[in-house]
Parts: sequence; C-alpha cells; structure tokens
Amino acid sequence: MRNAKNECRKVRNEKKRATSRYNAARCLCLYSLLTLLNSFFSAAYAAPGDTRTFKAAQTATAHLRIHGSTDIENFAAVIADYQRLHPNTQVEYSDLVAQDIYTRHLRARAGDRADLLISSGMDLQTKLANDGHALAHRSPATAALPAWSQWRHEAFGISYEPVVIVYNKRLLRPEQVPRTRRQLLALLRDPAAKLAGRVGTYDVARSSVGYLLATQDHQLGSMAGALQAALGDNRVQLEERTGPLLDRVARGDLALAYNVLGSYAQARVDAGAPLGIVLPEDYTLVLLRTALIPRTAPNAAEAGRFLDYLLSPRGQAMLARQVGLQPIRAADGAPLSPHARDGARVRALRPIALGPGLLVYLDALKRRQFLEAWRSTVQPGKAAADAP
Amino acid sequence: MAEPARPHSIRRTLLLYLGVLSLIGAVLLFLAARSYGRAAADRSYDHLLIASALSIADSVALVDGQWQVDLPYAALDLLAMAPEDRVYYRVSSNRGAITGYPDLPAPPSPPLDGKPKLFDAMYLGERTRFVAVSRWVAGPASQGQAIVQVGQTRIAREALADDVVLRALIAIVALSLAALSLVWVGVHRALRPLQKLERDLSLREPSDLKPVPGSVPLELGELVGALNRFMGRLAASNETLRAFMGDAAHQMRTPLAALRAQAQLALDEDDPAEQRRSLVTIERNANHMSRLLNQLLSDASAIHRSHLQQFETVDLAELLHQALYESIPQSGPRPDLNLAVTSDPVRVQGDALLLREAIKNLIDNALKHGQPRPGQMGGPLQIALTVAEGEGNAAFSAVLTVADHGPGIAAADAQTVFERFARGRDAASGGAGLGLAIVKRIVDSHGGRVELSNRVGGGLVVTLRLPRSAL
Repeated sequence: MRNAKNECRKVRNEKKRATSRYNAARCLCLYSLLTLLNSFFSAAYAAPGDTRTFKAAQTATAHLRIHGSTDIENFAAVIADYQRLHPNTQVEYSDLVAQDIYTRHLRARAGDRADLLISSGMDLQTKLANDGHALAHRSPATAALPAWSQWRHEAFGISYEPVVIVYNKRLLRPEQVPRTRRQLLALLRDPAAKLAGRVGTYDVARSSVGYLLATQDHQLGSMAGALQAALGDNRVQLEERTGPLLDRVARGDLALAYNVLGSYAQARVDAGAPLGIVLPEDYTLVLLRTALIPRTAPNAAEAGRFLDYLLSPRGQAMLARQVGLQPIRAADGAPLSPHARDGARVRALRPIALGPGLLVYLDALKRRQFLEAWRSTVQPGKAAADAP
Repeated sequence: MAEPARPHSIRRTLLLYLGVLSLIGAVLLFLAARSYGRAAADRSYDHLLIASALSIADSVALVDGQWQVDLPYAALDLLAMAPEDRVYYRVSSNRGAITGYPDLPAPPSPPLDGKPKLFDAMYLGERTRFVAVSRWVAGPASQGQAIVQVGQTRIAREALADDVVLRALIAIVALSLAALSLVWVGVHRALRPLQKLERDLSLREPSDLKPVPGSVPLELGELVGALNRFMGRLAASNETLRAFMGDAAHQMRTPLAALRAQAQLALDEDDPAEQRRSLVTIERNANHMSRLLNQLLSDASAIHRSHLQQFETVDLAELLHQALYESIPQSGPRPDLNLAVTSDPVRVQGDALLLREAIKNLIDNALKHGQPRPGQMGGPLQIALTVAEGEGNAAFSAVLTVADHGPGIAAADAQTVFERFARGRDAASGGAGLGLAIVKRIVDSHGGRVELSNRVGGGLVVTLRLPRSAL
C-alpha cells in the first residue's frame, strides 16, 4: 500500500519537476536554455534516480552499491579517491532523494539491495536504525567520532551541514540581508522589499530534508509559525531539491531561499554564483549527512571499509574539498569558517541530534497534522483549492 | 615441642573458618548488589518510560469520531536519555492500532485505567521493556478507550545495572581483602603468645625449671599455670632427690666406716673371744644399716608417692588394722595394746599405701621408744581413731592418736623431731631419725596435721588429723 502510494508520489514528482522546468523556461528563456543545455550536454546536475558505475581500476574482486542523496558529480571524486586506495572495488552509486533511499530499502528484493545508504534525511536513517534495519559497525574510525554524531553504532554522521539562508547578492542590498529570523520576518513583512513571489524554500510535502528542517524549526523556535505565515504571504516558491532552488536564486529568479543546505550553496559560491550565505544568528540548525549499513547489505564488510574511509582524515578532507561538506571531525565546537566568509559570526549552532526524538514527526498522524498546518499557512490559496 | 610439621594447626583452622565466613559474606553482598542494581536501573528508566507513555496519552483526542494523536516531541526525545536504545510506540483503541508500530507485543493483561503496566517482551529480536497505559478519552460526540504502549530496548538499563554491580563489586572486593587481611593479622596476633611461649621453652637449658615469666592471655593462663605447677613439682622432686642422695650417702658412710673398722679389728685380733665380740658389733652395725636402708627406701617411696598424689577414698579404720597387723611382731611377746575405733565410717581421700606406712611408723615409734623408763609407771599403748570437728575446708577431721608411756619428748626437740635424720637426744639406738619425718611428709601431702604432746605422768601423744571426705 505504502509502496503503491510512494510510486504514485514519485510519478507526480516527476511531473511537477518537468512542469517547473517548463515554467522556468517560459519565464526566462535565456536562462532556461542554458540550463537545458547544461543538463543535456554537460550533465552538471544529473537527475535523481541516476545510477553510475565506477569500474575498478584492476580486476574487480569487491563490489559496493551505494544509495546516496548527494549528487553523483560531487561524490564521484570521493569514490575515485577510494578506488585509488582499493583498486579492486567496483562501486555503483545511485543518486536518490532521501525519501526514496528509505522506501527503496524497505521494499528492496535480493539483487537490488544497497550496501550503504548515505542520506541527508537523518530522521529516516534514524527510523531505519530504530526499526532494526541497520547493521552495527565498530572500527577505530567510528570510535574516534564524537558521541553526538552517531547513534547505536548504526547511524553515522559523515558531514556537518549548517542550514542557512541564501540570497542573491545582486538583488538584496547588504543592509537588507537578514542576520536572524526576526530580521528575515521583518524583511518579508516590509512591502518595500518587494519579495512577493521571489522567496523560496523546500516543499516540505515532497522534500524529506525540507520536512525535517521545518519540523525542527517548529520544535526549536517560537517564530516558526509567524515565519511560515510571512513566507506564505509572499507566495513562497517551493522546490523539492536543493539544486534547482539554489539555481533559481543564482539566476535572480528568487531573491532569497530559506533553510537551505549550506554545502550546496557554498559549492555554487565557489563556482562563482552571485550568492550570499547567512547562518542565522539566533540559531543555526546543523544537519548530519548520515550513513548506514543495512542489515541486508550483500557486501557489508566492503561498506564498512568505505564508511571508515569516509570518516578517515583523508576521506573527510576529500568530502570537504570535492563535495563542500563540512568534516565531522573538526566540527566539534570549531567555527564554521568556510561558510562564514561574509563575516557573520555563528554563535548558536544547533546540531540535530540523532536519536528517537526524530521519530516523532515521522509518525503518520503527526506528519498529516503538521503538513495540514503548514499548507494552511504557507499555501493558503492552494490549501483552500485542494480542500474537497 | 617445636615440630616443623604439625598435623593440626590452630592458625589454619582459624584462617579457614574466618576466611570462608568473609567469602560467604562477599558472595551474599554481591548477590544483593546485583538484584539491587537491576531493580534500581529498571526503576529509574521505567519512570522515563511511564512519563513518555503518559505524555503520549495526553495527546490523544477523539474528534468527530476520529482518533487524533499529536505525538509530543518530548515523548520520544525524553527516551534518548538512554542514548543507545531503540524506541517503539503504539496508540491503539479497541478497533486496532491508531498510529505507531502496529505489531508490538501485547501486554500480558490489559492495563487498568491510571495504572501503567510494565512488562518485558521480545521485539525485533531484542528483549524490550514496555509500558502500557490506558486512557479513557471522551469527545464531544463519542468516547473510547485508548491504549498507549511505549517500549525501549534494555541497553542503558543493563549498562546502569552493570555499573552499579561493578561499583559494588569493587567495594566488596576491597572489603573482603580488608576483612581477610584483618583476619590474618588478628589470627597472627592472637597466636603470638603461643609462639613466644614455645620459643621461650625451646630455648631453655634442660635444668632450667623456673616458672614461665610474664603475663599470658586468659586462654593460656590455665595451660601455663599447669606447666608452671608441673615444673615446680619437677624442680621440687629434683631437689628432694638430690638432698636425699646427699643425706643417704652421708648416713651410710658412718656405719660403713664403723663396719670396716670393726672388721679390720677382728682381722687383727688373734683372740677368738675378741674376734667374736667384733663380729657381734659388726652384725649389730649391719642391722642398723639395714634398718636405715629400709627407712631411706620408705622415705623415698613416701616422697615419690606424695608427689604423685594419686588419691582415692580409703577407710582409715581398715588401714589402722592392717598397720597394726604388720607392725606388731608375730613372734615374741605381744605388746600391751589398747585400741579404740569409732563406729562412724572414717574415710579420707588418700594414698592407702602411704597412710598405712605413716601409721606403721607411728606404731613402730611407740613400740620402740614408748617403753616406760625404769622406775616409772607403765601401761598399755593406747591407739584411738575418732572423728572431730573439721578444720579448713573439710567439715570433719579424722583424728588418730597414739599414746605411749615413754619418756616423751624434750621441748627443745619438739621443733626438730620432724626433720630428717634428727633424733631425740636420748633416743634409743637403732633409729635413723626418719620415722616422724616420713609421717609428717605423708600427712602434709594429704593436707593434714601431725602434733606431738607430752602426757601427764610421762609419755608421748602423737595426734594425726586428716580431712575426712564426705560420706
């Protein structure tokens, strides 16, 4: 039943994605043309669901199948580096959204099973571990991890990702840039700012990471409700994936995106996009990109080896350099200098804790209630239209 | 006394019993700590589990006939206090699961309203602690019973219990080691006086029979007392033996010298008459020596036996008859004798042989020295056995008097007559001066008294008092 629903949802997602691309193309022909060219010829942003096989340099004696929510392009360098250390390992990487990683694991049959799940949906990963789907992995590398970055030796945070506000530097003047949520709220309510239809965030109904971040906001801040309402009043644009959302900000389609994974934004900044990154000073959520070895993994030992590599200084450096992910090891209280180049000082980092608390918003009733409330504030018109 | 391998060791026994005692104590403490540790761990984490279930129950509502559960974030986040434990929950009504894990094991019996039901069950292959609470929910139009069940694996509980047990174990081990070392030191110290005594005795010269010096523990007092008494007796007996041998040698030397002189004289004499006279003298001296030897032997026997103190109940009247029978010559004229024995039983604690010897000596003395002097009034020898008021500890005394008609005893001799080899100034020849000394020794060893008195009209009265034993 769940699978069927998921299947439906997936189809719908694909449709929506296509529609949004079409809309974007219609609105800004030049940009859209470039984007389409990009996606067709350079494959800079591979579509989710893509699978790529990295052949072993020598005779393949070991196989590793990874389901990850990180873009293949970014992760390829990491896999290549791993294959330099283990030239006999053939790696197959599938780029999936967090929700799909979860559901595909649950309905996977023999032959289709992944050896390692790397997902920014830490709540879904936690649920897999809680429900007994994960294999415990203990090694010197995991023993060196800080206690908050792993759970039960089953779910391991491999990188440390601040959740940030991203804005287009050409569209927002420096004095307009919000440093806190209160300033963001004020900016959204300011009619002079003319932000209507030009702010974006995740579609929490489709993006499990967006859902996680929205629920954490709801959990942590008293301002979350007001902020949602203000976003809704400004006809907030919703995206399922981080890439397209950031692209729209970079194109100037949107002036500002709220609750975005910092690593993606940083990658675009490094690539020259006119983006500014703000770590909210009232509190900055920190997401852990979480790795997990399924109990059903055909090559669990190889998965453990790969996980140890990711957690090793070399792997962490590779993640930071190639993927733009903040390493987990140096994260223990260290200032987030790579993301704070605009001078913002970060005082209130709130890492989302791995643990049973994350199961609460995965509860079906809880999720339904949260989404209803969210829709009614963020998409008041749509919610009314959807209502039977 | 100091054998290297003793078959039975007091120390080993003490160490064994006390050691086993403290080990049993340690084991009991460990079992108690383990059960306490488990109970304490369960209690503390059960509180969290119940709090979680109750907060979920609070969020259950019935709206338009539809169950609503607004799972509180804290309800499950609270359980992260056990950092490694999995968490499960289910909210159900009588029509089945509303939300959560539908396949959780059911409680052994349905929870009562307001009473959380705690139980352990297997879930997903792991032993899991569950709590189930029941909540009666009433909506505007409908009402129903909701059951909230929350479960948590037992990793943190076991860790806490193990931690409690480990800490207790460390304390118990330390305590046991302290107890055992205290036992060891205590036993060592308690037995030290015994070792000291052993060393003291084994280092002594063989002739050193002095009492053990210094104070000893209460428990050894009796042993050391007995040892001291034994050594005292040994020393006294040694002393007596030495004195006896000196005396005997001295006493034998004079008659032997006389014998040799007489024999020399007889050899030098040609006249048969003179020779015969010398031989008569020799024979008399030999008799005297023989008597002396007998008395010395008797004295030695008295000394020996009175040291032995092997006493039993003896009938003094019977002893008196035996003594009379043995003392009165069977041939020759029967001495004139007057015997008065009380009809009461006269029993004393004593050595029959020694007492008979004493009585015989008294009768001998009386027969030998008790003849009236020429020109004085004679009379029968008077022997009487009576019972009198007791002295000292005994309620009654047995009193034996022997009265003769002899010359009595001079006041000057009254003190010395009991000494060995002391004889009255004008005693008849043939006595060795041992008779009364023997009597006194025997009577003394029986806790009695011997008194001498002169009777009016001439004669000596010897009174012998012995503590009479109970009937």
